[in-house]
Amino acid sequence: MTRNSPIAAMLWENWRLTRVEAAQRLAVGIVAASAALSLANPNLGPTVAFWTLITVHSMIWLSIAKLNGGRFMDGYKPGFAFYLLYTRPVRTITFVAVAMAYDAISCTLLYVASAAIVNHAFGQSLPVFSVTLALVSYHLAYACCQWATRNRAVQWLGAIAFSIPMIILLRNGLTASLQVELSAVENIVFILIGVASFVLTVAGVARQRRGDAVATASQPRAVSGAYPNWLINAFRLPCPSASATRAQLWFELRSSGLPVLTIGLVVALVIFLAVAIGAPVAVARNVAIPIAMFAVIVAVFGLGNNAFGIRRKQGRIYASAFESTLPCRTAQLAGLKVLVRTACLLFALIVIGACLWASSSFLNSWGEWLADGNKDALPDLLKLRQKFSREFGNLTGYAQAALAVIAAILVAAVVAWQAAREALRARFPRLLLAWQWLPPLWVLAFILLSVAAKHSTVLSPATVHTFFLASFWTSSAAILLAAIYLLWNGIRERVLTIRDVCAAMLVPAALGIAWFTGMPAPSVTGMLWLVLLTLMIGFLAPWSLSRVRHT
Amino acid sequence: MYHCTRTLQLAQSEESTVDISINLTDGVPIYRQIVNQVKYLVASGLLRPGEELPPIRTLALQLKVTPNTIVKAYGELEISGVLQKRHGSGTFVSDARPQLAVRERRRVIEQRIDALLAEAHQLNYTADDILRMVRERKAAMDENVAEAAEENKEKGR
Amino acid sequence: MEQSIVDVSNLSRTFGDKAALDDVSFRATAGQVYGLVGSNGAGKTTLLKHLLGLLRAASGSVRVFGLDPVRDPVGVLGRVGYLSEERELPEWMRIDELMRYTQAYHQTWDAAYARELLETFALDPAKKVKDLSKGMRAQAGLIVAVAHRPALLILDEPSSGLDAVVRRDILDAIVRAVADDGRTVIFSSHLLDEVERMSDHVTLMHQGRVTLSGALDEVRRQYQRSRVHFAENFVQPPVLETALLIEGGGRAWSVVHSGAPEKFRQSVLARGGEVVESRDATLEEIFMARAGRSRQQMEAA
Repeated sequence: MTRNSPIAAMLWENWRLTRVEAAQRLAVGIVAASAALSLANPNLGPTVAFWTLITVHSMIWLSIAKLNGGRFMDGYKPGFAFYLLYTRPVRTITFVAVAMAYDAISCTLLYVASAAIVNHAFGQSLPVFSVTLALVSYHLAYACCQWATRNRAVQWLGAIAFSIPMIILLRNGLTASLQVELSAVENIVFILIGVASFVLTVAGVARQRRGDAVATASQPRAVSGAYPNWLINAFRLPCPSASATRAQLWFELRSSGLPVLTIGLVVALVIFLAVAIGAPVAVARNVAIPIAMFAVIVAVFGLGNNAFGIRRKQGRIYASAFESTLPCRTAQLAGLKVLVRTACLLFALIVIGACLWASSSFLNSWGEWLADGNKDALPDLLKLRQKFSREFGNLTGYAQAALAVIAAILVAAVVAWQAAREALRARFPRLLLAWQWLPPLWVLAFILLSVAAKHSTVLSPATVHTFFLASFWTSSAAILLAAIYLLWNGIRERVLTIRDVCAAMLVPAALGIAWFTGMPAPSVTGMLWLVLLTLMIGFLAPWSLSRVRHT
Repeated sequence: MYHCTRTLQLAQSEESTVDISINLTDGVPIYRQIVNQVKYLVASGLLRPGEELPPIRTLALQLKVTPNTIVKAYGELEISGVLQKRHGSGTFVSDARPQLAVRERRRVIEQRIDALLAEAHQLNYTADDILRMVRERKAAMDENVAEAAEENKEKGR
Repeated sequence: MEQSIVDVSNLSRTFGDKAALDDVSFRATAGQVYGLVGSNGAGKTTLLKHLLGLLRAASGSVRVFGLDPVRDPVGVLGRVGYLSEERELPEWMRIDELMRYTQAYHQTWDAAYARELLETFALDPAKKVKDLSKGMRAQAGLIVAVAHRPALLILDEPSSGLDAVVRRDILDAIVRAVADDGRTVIFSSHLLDEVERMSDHVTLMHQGRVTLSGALDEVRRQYQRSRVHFAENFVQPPVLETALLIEGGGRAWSVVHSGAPEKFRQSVLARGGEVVESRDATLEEIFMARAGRSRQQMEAA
C-alpha cells in the first residue's frame, strides 16, 4: 500500500481492480491464439490468431467499468468510473491521465506479451510492436467514449464509430506477410485521435465532477434487473391474478422473456440490414460477415444467460429476496423460468435463422467479392448455403421434426446450465471459478497432445484418441454420479417431488428417442452422453436455485 | 347545535376523545401510566360515570402502543372497579364510585408531596420550612386572585 | 400450552469464521408483538431470515406454524407477510401490477384493505417502483406484506431511514394487525422508544446471542435506575454491587443495576452515599447497560 503520492495510490487501485481480469485475458488470449494456430490451416491460422489477440486486448477493463453499475448487456453505465475521487484533493487532469494511461498501456503491454509468447512458442511472427500505437490510440478513444459523457447514445455510437475505422485501418495496414505497416500519415492520425480523446475526456470528467453533467439513474442503490427497464416497460400486459402459476408466467415474460425476444428480433434485423447494405457498399461487407457469424452463438450464450435472475451489486451476488419469499415451490420456479426463457430464445433464434437465410440470398451480388479470394479467405457462404439446403431437404419430415426437437432440448439444456451456473456462482464462487478453468485446460491439453503427437515419435495419434476416449468415459461417469447425488439430495430436502422427477426424466428421454430415431447415423455413445448430461442438468437447476434461495 | 353534531361525528368516526399521553422517559410502564391517567380523569370528573371509553383498537392507534397494553390497562381498571365492560358494546366508566375518587385524588396529591419532600431534603429545607412556605405561597396566590377579580369588576362597569 | 407460531431452538449459524448466531432460542405465541433489539451485527436480520427460509439452519431447528420454512416454503410463506430491510421489490413493476402479482399468490388477499391503504398512503398506482422514494417504497412493501392478512408479520427494521409520517403508518399497520384477528408481529428495530411502545415481548441480542428475552414489563422490572449522591468526590466511578452501568461525575452518579435492590442500597450506604431516586429502567438504559460499548466493567464485589 503506497502513501504520499496520489498517483501511486491510483495506480495501485487500478492494479487491484484489474489484476484478476488481466490474468484471465492473458490466459484466454494465449490459449485461443494457440488453438487457432494449431488447428486452423497455415494460411488462415495466423490471421485468426492475430485478430483474436487484438479483440481480447482491445476492450477497456470491465472490472473498472463495473464500478459504475449497470449490466454487461448495457455496456455498463457510461460516465467516469472513479467518481469517488471527485471529493479528493486531486486535480481532474491528474486522475483522468492516470486512469487512461493505465488502461491503454496495460492492455497494450498484455497484447505485446501474449504476441511475443505465441511467437516464441509457435515460431510465428505476429506483429508485436508495430500495432502498439494503434492499440493505444484505440484504447484512449474507447475510454473517451465511455468516460467523458453520461449519455448512453454517445457511448454506443462513439464505440461503433471508433471501432469500425480502426479495424479497417489496421486491416489495410496488414501486408501479405502479416506485418502491420502504417504510413506516417496514419501514425499521425492515431496520435491526434489519442490526444483529442484525452482532452475531451478531461473536459467531460470535469463537467461530471462539477455536477453539470446530466445524472443517470438517480437512485444509487437501484438494482436494475438483467434487462434495461425501458425495454421491460415497452410491453404492457395486465397481470393475471387468478393463479400463482399464471402470475409467475407473466412475471417471467415481462422481466426477461419479452426483452430476449425483442433483442433477438433486433439482432436479426441488424444482420439483415448489414448484409443488405453490404450489397451496394463494399466496405460494410467486412463488418457484416463477423456479425452474422457470431450472432447465433452470442444469442444463445448471451440471451440465454442467467435465467434465474441472480444479481450482482457491489460485489455481492444474490437472488432476489422478493421472489424467494413468495409462496411457491423452488422446483416449479426453476422450471418455469427455464421454460419461458427457452421458449423466447428459441423464437428469437428461429427469427435470426430466418434472417440469416434470407440475407444469404443477397450474397449473390457479392459473387465477385468472394471470387476475388479476399484476404480473409472466409468460407464460401454461397456454397455453404446450397450444401445446407440440399442436406436439409433430403431429410424426411420425421427427421426434420426430430432435429427440431433435439435442437430445442439442447437449447433448453444450455439455458438451464447457464442459470444453474449463476446460482452456483452465488453460493460456491471459488469452486465454480476452479471449475470454469476445466474446459479451457482440457482444450489446452488436447492441443498440446495433438501438437506433440504430430512432432514427436514417442506419442502417436493413437495416444490422442485414447486421451479423448478416457476423458469421455470419466466425464460420463462423473455426470452420472452427479445426477444420482442431485436426485437423492433433491428428494431428501423435498426440493424435488415425484412429479418433478418424472418431468425431468421425460426431457432427456425425448432427446434420446429423437436422436436415435431421427438422426441419419446416430452414435449411441454420443447420444448417451448427451442424455445423461441433460438429465443431470434437469436435477441441477432446481437444486442450485434451492441452494441460493435457502442459503 | 354544531358542537353537538360535531361531537356525534367524532364519536361515530371512532376518534378518541380521551386525553391520555404516554411518557417513555420516567420509567413507569405504559399500562400503568394509562391506568393512572384514567383514574385521574375519573377522579377529577373529566370522565363521568357511564361514559364510554374508546375501544382498544382506537386507543392503541392513537397512542401508538401495542393493543395488548391497552388490554392490560383496561383489565386492571376493570378489576379495581373503575371501568365496566358491557358485552359487545364496549368499555364504560362504572357508575358512581365516590370512595375510589377520593382514594385516587389522595394518591395523586401524596405523590406530589413525596416528590416535594425529597426535593426539599436535597436542598436542605426542613419540613417546617416547607409548611411555612406553603402558607406563604397560598397567601400570595389568594392575593393575586383577589386583584384579578377586582380588575374584572372595574372593566365590567 | 398455547400452540407457538414460531419455535426456534438452539439455532447457530456462522458466516465464514464469524458466528452470526450462537445457540439462539426464541418462541412466539399468537396475538403478541415481539420486538428484537440489538446493535448492528447482533444477528437480528439473520434470525429473521431463518424464519423465512432465506437461510438454512446449520444447527438447531426452526419451525414456523409447526413447519420447516426450508422444506415447506409454500405452507409457511403463504401465511407470512415480510418487509425486508432493503425493501426489495422488482424495479420495473408498477404499484398496481405489484399488487395484482402478489394477490395471485395469496387467496386471503383483501382487495378493499389494499385499496384503503393505497389511498391513505396517497401512492399513485401507476408509478414504477424504481421511481419511488425510500418512504414510498416502504409503504408499498408494507401494503404487499399486510394486505393478505397474514397470520405472522415479520418486519426487519421497518422504520429505518423513514420520516415520522411513514413511521406512523407502519406502527398503525402493526397495531391493526394485532388488534384485528389477533395476529402475531415480529419486528426488529434500532429505535428503542418504538420497541418500548409497540412490543409485548422484547428480545435483546448481542453478538449473536440472546442476552435477555421476556415480557417487556417483567424485563423492565428487573432493572432499576437510581440516582445516587455521595459525600466524597469520586474521580473514577465507584464500585457498587449489582451495578451494570454508572454514569455521572463527582458526587452525583446515575446507576443502572439489576438484582436485589437492598444489596445495592447497602453498597451505596457503605460508600457513604444515599439513593436519591429509584425507578424502573427504560429500555434504552437496559440496552446501554447490556450491550453498550462504553459499558463500565464491574467486578462482583
